[in-house]
Amino acid sequence: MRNMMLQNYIKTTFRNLIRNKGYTVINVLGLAIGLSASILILLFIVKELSFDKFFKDSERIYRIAVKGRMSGDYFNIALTPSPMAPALKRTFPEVESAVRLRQWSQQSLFAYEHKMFYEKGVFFADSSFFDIFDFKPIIGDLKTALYEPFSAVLTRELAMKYFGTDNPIGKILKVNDTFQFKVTAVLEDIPENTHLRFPLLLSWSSIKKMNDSRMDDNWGSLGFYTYIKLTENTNPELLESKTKTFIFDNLISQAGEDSNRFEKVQVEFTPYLQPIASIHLHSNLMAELSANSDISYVYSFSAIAAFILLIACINFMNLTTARSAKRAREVGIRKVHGGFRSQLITQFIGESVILSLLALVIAIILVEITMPVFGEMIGQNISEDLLINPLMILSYILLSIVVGFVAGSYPAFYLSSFQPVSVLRRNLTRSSKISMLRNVLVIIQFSISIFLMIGTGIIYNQLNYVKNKKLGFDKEHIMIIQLRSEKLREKTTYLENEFRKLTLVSNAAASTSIPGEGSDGTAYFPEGESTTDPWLIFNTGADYGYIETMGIEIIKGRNFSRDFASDTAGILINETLLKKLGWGDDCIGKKMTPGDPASKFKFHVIGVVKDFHFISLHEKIEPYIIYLSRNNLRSLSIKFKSGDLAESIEQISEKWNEMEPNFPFDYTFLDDTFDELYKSEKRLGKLFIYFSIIAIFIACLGLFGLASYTAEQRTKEIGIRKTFGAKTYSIAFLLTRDFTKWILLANVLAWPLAYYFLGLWLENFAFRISIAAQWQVFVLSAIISFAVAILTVSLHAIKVAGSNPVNALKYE
Amino acid sequence: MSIIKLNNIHKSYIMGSNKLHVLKGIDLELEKGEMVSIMGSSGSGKSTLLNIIGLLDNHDQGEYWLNGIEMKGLSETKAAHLRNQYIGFVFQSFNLISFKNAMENVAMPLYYQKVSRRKRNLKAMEYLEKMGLKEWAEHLPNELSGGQKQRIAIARALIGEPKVILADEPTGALDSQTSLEVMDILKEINDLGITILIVTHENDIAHRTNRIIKLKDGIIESNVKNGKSHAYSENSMAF
Repeated sequence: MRNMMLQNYIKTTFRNLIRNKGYTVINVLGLAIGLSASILILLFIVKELSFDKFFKDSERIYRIAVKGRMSGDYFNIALTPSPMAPALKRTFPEVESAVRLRQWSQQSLFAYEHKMFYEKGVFFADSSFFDIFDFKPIIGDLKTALYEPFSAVLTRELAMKYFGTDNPIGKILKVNDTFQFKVTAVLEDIPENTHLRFPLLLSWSSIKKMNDSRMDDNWGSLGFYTYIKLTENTNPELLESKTKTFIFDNLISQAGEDSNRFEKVQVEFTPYLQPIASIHLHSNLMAELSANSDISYVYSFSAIAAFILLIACINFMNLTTARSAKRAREVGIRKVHGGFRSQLITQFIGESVILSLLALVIAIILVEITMPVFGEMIGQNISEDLLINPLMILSYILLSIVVGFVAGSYPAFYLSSFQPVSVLRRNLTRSSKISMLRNVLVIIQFSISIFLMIGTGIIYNQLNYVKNKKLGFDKEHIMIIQLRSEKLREKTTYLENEFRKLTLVSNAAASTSIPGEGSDGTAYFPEGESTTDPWLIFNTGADYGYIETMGIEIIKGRNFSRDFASDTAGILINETLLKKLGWGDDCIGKKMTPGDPASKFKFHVIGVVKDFHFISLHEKIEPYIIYLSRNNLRSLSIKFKSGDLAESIEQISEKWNEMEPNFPFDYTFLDDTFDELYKSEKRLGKLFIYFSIIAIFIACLGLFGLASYTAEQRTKEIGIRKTFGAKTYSIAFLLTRDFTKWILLANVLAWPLAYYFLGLWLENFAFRISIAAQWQVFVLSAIISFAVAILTVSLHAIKVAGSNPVNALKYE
Repeated sequence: MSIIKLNNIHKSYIMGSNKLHVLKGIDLELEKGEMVSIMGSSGSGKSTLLNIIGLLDNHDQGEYWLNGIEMKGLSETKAAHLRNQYIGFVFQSFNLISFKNAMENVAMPLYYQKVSRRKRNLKAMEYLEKMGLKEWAEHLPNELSGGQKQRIAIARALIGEPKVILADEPTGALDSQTSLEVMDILKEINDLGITILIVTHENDIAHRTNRIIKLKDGIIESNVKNGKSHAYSENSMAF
């Protein structure tokens, strides 16, 4: 009996769906698009939340970060001193194992026979690395793989690149044409969902043998990543409290000095533990290994997904209640013949759940199709496996059932409340309560859409502003070549001169760092200031010609010049530093002592440069020093004359290959480096735009359905009006007018919200557009929302208004 | 001068692959100030004829002269304009707009003549008063009786000061007492010189008009003046 009833319901559902094809399409399509957008976002969020959780015992793995102060400036950094890891392991029994990592900051050239590639993100790691991180081995014994000096552990991808299908174990990789590393193991490729990504690892013990400055046992120098694994049931907070002064104490004992001196110059180092799984979404420190994401993205995209689903649900509710008059008779007949209200409610909710499941099937297909594009947009691959993971599938089904339930519940309660006598007598008049609810829902839909539109505009404008903001130097047409080896760096002057000779090159100069890359800070003791309290000032060393190459403007004094021998101790300071020092016009010739205040060597100021953005626009401009340097110049900047870019690159490339056949030609452009700084915002912006379009589309779909319903419901009125002389356009106007009112209200609601929330977002930028000055975006969003709504509605209105009124009037 | 003159009017509808020939050559002339009824069984073509006269539909063949102007190749807009200027409509089912009150319903045609709201409402009240419905001006249609509704519809038909009123079964939804009242009102209007054409299938309604035209299968079967039957036209009889 129950079974038959169910069959009857399902049959009725499908009959209804087929009879009202237009509504079915709008309902199902809207829901399907909404669901697929939500599923994509869900996949994204699941992936974001999965970061670094795949390690065995990941809840016991922590990274050590350091909060501290140096000469009054606070910092919070992901780096520790190099002795930190072994010392922790030695001192605290609750530390099961500890590993230190050193990232090779620049790309390095790896070679096997004739295969040469630049690799970036290479780590030196203690042999304990695999005690903590259980990356999957393919060949080799991970226990011993990083023990010997000059050992290398490769990922599968890299092994394939150099050795193809040959067994790589025991093969020798030549690095920067200088060192030879032996391959001891190969790992499965590193999963995407970890912040700890590398093409290969080199053994820690190699560093000392490489005899370069990378090894630094100083407790005062923060340059190494430390990861620890705690023993089971260890309270991390307890360990944290025990290690509060660990670095400081060791620093003092190492220096053999009086702790008062450090306290006087306000040096503080407080290490703390970051659970590894929290790094990706919650950590944004100095010297992160890779640009992390942010939990706020997870929140905002969850909100967008919820918005889109809400819009789709509203469509569903609106269209279903709008259609209620047509179903009223069925309700009446079912009730007359003994249907209970609860049965009817079950029937209607069941219908909407069936619809929603149908939409889910379409949504999965849509997701399948759009996943690669989406992956590209978010800059991550979302694997098929995740999509069809049973748990995920269960959650989609649950989601669509909930959506079906939510969307169907109101219409169900409303429809089932019809009194059989009145509906059978066809006394159903326009219920103002119901159409009121519909209006409110449409207003909500459009408020959301308008909010998203304004968001899109503001984000776009801010990104554009960042892109076009005068940085104080000219980032266009500047090519950067890394000078990776000492051999190359010795030839800097020669290289500069050779490049300058090329017809398409206007200038070339090397420097220790380039804008946008992040600078080092050095302690300085400016003349007339405290001799114990250093100023920590960002600086870069540069060769002659650097200022011209970068197009940095000199506003006081002069540039470095070979005509003045004393310029080797000359420095240029920026406006901000000048202001902070308060030297005014007398600044030229003032002395600054780097490092040790007692040192004989002193810099003297020869000029002042106009402020320029040497880091991203997220940060304000800090004091800055450019000193003349002839060593350690790692980046060679080449400025092109405007003209054919491809040909310029060709010229340089030829010259390079002629001069340096051992190092493949490899370059970046300075403007790309700057773009990289805003990658996550750009991504966010793009996603925002796409999802706004989806939201607006679904809202329009609903509006279209509702408009056609309204027009249908007013057919008779339209017929009457036409009979008495109304022309097509006045009817179209009549039908559009109501909707216009709602859109106006939606704007009124959306504007303040957009103003508030986007204002918050903009505060992330030290240099930003003013939201009040973005009134055009608000107005434009309003215009677009009106245009879209009017277009959608009038498509119908015109059709209805143009129909012959006779048909409407004749039949009751 | 005749206010309405039809010459050999034909009208067909395409129904799928079939062609339905509804009017097969109608010749008809209405003098100014006449009150005429059209009778006929359902399917005889009387509503189609009324729609063509009311400019709600186009004829395929023949000539239609309204107030001395030939109605030919009218655009939507032009037709709407002419309807508004010359013709008032009264329907069986009243066709009042349910969410507008009596006064607003009556005033509606003036809106499309671009009369200001104040003037519209003033004039609507005047016509409601003529119909004896002044106190009902603020009421919605569903608060009124059938007779009241039809009187409002008549007021609405009159407010644009039309030359012709087309009434399609104006008493079809009313009881006999109310029907007589409505007919009396139409008679009074006719006495003011407005031409009235009524479609009906009730004999006693038809007999209250000056002339009865009977349609059958798309042609005029008879054209009876005040009860006296006479052959209407040679060729239509020949069919």
